[in-house]
Amino acid sequence: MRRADRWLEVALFFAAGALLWLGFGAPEWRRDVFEPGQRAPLSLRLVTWNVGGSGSDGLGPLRDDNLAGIGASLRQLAPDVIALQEVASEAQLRELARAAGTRKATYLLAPGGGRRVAVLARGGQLRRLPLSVDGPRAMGFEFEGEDGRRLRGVVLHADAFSAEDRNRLVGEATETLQRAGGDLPSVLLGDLNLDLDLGKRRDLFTDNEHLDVETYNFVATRLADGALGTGPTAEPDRRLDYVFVSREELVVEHAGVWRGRRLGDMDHDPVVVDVRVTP
Amino acid sequence: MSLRLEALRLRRSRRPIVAGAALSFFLVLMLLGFYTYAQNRTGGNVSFRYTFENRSYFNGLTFSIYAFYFAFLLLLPIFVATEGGAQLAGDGADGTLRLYLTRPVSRARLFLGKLAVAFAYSSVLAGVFLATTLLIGLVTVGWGDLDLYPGVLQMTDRHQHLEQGEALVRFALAWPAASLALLVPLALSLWISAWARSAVNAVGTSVAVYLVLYVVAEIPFFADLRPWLFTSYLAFWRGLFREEIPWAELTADALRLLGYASLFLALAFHRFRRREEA
Repeated sequence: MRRADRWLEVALFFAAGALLWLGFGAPEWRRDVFEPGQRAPLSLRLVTWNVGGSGSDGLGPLRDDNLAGIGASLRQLAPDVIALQEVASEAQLRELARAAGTRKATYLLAPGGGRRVAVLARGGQLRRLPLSVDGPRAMGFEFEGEDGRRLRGVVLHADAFSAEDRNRLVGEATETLQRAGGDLPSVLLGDLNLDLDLGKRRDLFTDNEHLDVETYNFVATRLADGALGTGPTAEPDRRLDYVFVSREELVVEHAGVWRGRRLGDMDHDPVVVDVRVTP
Repeated sequence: MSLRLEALRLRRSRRPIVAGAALSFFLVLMLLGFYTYAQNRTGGNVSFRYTFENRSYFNGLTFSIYAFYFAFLLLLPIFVATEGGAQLAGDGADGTLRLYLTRPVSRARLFLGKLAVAFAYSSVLAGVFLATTLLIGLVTVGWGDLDLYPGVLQMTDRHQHLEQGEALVRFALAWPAASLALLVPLALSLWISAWARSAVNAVGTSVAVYLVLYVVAEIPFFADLRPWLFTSYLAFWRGLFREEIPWAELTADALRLLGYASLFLALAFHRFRRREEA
């Protein structure tokens, strides 16, 4: 009897050790490291980047000291369309366009003052698309590349502190894109300030965070989340920046978050999505 | 003999009746909550108008998922811990254990008999509850396809659509997976029961330890602890409701849970072997 008891005890401890070793030692899923060089030929590269800061002196717009560094990153990325958030002035955009390394760059800056959204294209043409939510935080645009490929889009920077404001801005922008109709591919990109991983974080700063689930799904049921599954985009370990693309007209070929490009007190990484326009 | 006796004692303890009554009450509340939520949300809340939810989203299968998810994390482990906590300590307190040990039966056999009956009870409790939620969902709302959206119950990161037949297969798979997960709080409570002299203390401590671990896993300050808490893996069966089941991830979680269960059982038996009855 005692032998049976001893065997059971040994077997249980052995099983515990083996199972825990197998469970915790199993190869972890590794996030793909995004490399800007991996780009499919004939793809359109879309980028969104909140270039503002969140340093010890509070939230602030893009700093002039960071322009050269950001421009260098953009030059390496060579995107077709770049959605920027927290740009302070047209002069900054001009400087970024120059630093991005092309003389053909065009840009649009949202109306209003303070921290604004902007769109920059390294070539081709940009045109404003009127939105019901036009302002420093939202701007519609149409892009036509040098090769004739066209896109319709909205760049957003949703409120960080109010789930209701986020819902209104993102919802209206999504509906505007859909109402615009036609057969142009659509994109919605920017810092939406939606972090769905509620199991990871209980937010102390928003009024109704769980309702962000509704806002995200409102967009995700209409447009494809281009960089889904590529990890967090902002400090601390949050996914706030998105590139949504229309499902039928655009196929995502490559997407990722390019880490290690922040400067100074910047707290967001650029999100890159390469898409192919379906014939 | 030992198994039959344990089963008879479980039936006479009336613990299954108490658990059934509490779970039924919970289901009534869930049904009320589900119905009113669906009514309010799908009408188009003025201040929060952009929503993905609609009437077709709320069906019997969604109800079943919601009811089972919350009951699984917050109620079933409590009944399971109560069962485990009452085993060795309860038998010790009323002298039954001493009587058992005078017979020529190994402690291993006694321990495994108690474990088998308690585990079977946990599994039946989970299975009957899951089947009841499906039945209530069918009768009151009707089934349909199962749509799951990102963020909801943290079940998926992208929209998942399962046709009714496939969804029911996933529910069937969720039962053994959930039973496996419940083995961990059961083993933990057996360990505590092996130390305690009173069933009340064992049950109270087991439930308290489970709840503390569950709450700690939910608080962001303790995010670094989460990978090491078994409560982080209990709801691993949610992966079965994805269009493409992530088998590798599910297997790793199941191995961790089995590992924790084996460890608690080993510690429980280690203590039980040395336990002396007055």
